Amino acid sequence: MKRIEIQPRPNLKERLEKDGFYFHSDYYSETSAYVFKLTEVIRIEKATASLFQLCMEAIDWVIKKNRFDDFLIPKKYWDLIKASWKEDYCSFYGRMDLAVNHDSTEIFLLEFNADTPTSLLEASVVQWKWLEDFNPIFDQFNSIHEKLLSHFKYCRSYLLGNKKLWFTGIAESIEDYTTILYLQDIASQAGISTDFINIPLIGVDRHGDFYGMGSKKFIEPIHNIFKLYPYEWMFKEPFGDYLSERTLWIEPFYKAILSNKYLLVLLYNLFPNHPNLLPAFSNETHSLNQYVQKPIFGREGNNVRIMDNNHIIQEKNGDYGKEGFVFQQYQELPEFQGFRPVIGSWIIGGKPAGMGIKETSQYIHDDMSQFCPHFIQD
Amino acid sequence: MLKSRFIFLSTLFFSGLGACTTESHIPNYLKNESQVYHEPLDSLNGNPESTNRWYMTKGNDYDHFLYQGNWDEGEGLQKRPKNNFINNLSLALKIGGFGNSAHFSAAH
Repeated sequence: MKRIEIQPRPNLKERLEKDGFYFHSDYYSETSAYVFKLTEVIRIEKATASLFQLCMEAIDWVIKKNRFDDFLIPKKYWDLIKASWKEDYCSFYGRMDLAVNHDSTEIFLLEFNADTPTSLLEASVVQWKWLEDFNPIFDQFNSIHEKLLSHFKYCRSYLLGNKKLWFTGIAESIEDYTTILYLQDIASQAGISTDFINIPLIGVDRHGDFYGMGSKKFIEPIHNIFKLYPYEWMFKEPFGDYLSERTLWIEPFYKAILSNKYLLVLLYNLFPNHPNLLPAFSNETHSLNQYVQKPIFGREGNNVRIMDNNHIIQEKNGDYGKEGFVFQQYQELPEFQGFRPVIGSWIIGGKPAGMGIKETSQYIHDDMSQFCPHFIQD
Repeated sequence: MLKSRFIFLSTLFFSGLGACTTESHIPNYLKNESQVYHEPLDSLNGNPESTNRWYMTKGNDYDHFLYQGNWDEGEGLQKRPKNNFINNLSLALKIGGFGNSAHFSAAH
């Protein structure tokens, strides 16, 4: 892996916004790119596939052993999670954040954004458009768009009721809204009837069934819905009481297990010798000297603390952590000209599909990390 | 990895984003939490000719209702009971039961 400095394309703002990428300021400057050898990419792809398989086995273990309490999942949702796993409900995507060393021989799972990942358009479209302008001779680990389209076509027959697929999330967040619209667009291209509804506007009737008002201003039942909104929030909100199998929720309910940081502890317990897993523990650090303390429910680096023998390397404040923390062995990220990249490796329909890279000069990656394009050069 | 890719983004994506960048996709009642609206939603959405009638109130966190059907507009929503479904309407919906955690942090 190499980091190179690049010149931003002329009229960068116009180019990015032409591709629908409006939230680029402070996030995408196009001044650096990462270069990989094909052998490195193949290692990342294999590690992603292997880790995903472990995740599937971990879900199976949790369900068989009824270990939902470890994940702080309220009991009233256990049966829904079991059913979503047993029936293999549609899952669209997920993003594993990986620590990858300089030659990609050491690859470790930092976390799995299994429920509500973003940076999708950037990874799928924006960095590809950059490569076409930069040098189309090169290749990129990126078939995200194609795999999404293919997977939506596959999922189409599994949709319930009227077969219409709603998309919801927080419309006021341009990052979330862009991700949702991108997915909605691909679903539409796959022949699925779609609509968007802002999540506070989802309605429930007296029978507990969900309804929404779509673009045609008619109220319709919601039989299938993709939500960019975390399950740990939905489970605590009033309408969590109405979640049922009568509506197909995507991502599926079992993603509440995978998106929880306790997954890191469970994976290490189940597969302690796996080369892509770091030691991780709950509630205490055990024998770790250098470790990262992560809130069980946490986002964008908030309330993360990196420790080195009682010395704080870096910590970030926030509102998370009241549910507890997990402690994962600290894995130093490779450093290039003062920047440390994390690889976001995408899973689409259960298969590795590409990667996006974010870098920061800090130790903790957060919402200020910069997205960088990449290419493959042998 | 595909050296030859064709990425097509349709008008659904771009028209939606166009609305997003001008904030016109955000209904007025979401921009001001403290206000109580009882206007037909169709007029808020620029479709005053619709024969449907949609009404919404926004009080505290859970007193959100969306109504459909024939009813006496003159009474005003304030006189309607809250925290109960309205039985004589063709469809009565509670809304606002999701999304309350969004102030906390990004959802991703």
